[in-house]
Amino acid sequence: MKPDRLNALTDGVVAIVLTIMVLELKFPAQPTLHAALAVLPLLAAYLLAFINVAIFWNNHHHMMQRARNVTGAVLWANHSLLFCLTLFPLMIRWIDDAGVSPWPVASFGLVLVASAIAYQLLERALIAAEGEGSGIQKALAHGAKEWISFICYVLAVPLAFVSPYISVAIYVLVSILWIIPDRRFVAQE
Amino acid sequence: MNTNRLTSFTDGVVAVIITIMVLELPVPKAPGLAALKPVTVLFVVYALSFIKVGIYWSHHHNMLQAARRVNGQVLLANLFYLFWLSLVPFVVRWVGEAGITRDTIIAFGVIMLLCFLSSVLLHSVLLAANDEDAAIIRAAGQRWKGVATLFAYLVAVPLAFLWPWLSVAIYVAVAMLWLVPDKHFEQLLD
Repeated sequence: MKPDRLNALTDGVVAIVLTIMVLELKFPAQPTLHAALAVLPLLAAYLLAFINVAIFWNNHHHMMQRARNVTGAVLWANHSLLFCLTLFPLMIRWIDDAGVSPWPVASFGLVLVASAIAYQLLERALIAAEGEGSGIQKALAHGAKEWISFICYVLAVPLAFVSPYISVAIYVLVSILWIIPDRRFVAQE
Repeated sequence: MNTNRLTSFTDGVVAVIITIMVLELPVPKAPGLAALKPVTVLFVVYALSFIKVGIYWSHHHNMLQAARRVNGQVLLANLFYLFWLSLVPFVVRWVGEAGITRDTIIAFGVIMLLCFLSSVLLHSVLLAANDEDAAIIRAAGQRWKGVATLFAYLVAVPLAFLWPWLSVAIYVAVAMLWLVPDKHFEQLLD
């Protein structure tokens, strides 16, 4: 089966995820510098979540350029990734409520861990759908960056209880690592 | 007419249906495990609604992969299908908030039954619009699963008057039935 509709549903869901995060944002309560500064942490959290969802979408986009065939297993792996991505707006709302504190920051990391696992499942399902030696299998062969970020996310969860700012720093560093595009796919074109 | 716009419209509507509940999900009011408890129920309910809508989308995806053409009847049947599908998050949320009671479980079953019947209707108008591909569309219908599903809902809804939990067990069994990918159909298409 062709991947067109899987891409269309993914784009629809990711567009909603990115949009509803904006709905959680608040205006400064008064037209003063002090009030404007008070909304900055949430704005930064929004930016971080936006970048992370965008990274997943970009990687998905690159990977699906190579995919020729989808199966029922691919559809469900993709659904599980979409489910994880829809939890980012919830994390933003929680950070808005509770501030940069251990529980919401650790949960943000858990959502990243779950999304990374779902993405791995999707890669594996796509490779299984096309077989050994397919373009997608070759392109996905070296996944060092995935593993490094996965380990970082896993470490960031308990570290949030030491200090949530350590975890935030890890999330920012991993995001920077990913903003550099995935050359594995570009190289093949 | 080809299927492109019908599928992209459906994908847009389903993308909204599948995510809309997350807008209203509560977050814990305090740090710690105790505060997680009240939000967990609705979180699980969100996951269930996501799975249910995901099953319907996957089924729609398979049916439309096999179809080449749509007509006015298909467009109307598809709208009818989307209408019932849009009530899934609504009724699932009611179950989450009011709990497993006679009324919520009956309402859930009735919406599920109507989703199912509208998908059968969509399937039959697609068959009528696609003569040459008919065999492959029929394969996407998974006839035995359809008969089992219809029978299960017809039993589960009246059962909810007496034992709502038994109906829940039947609903879960139906969901499991559809979660298993249809390998036979995938091979037919390739």
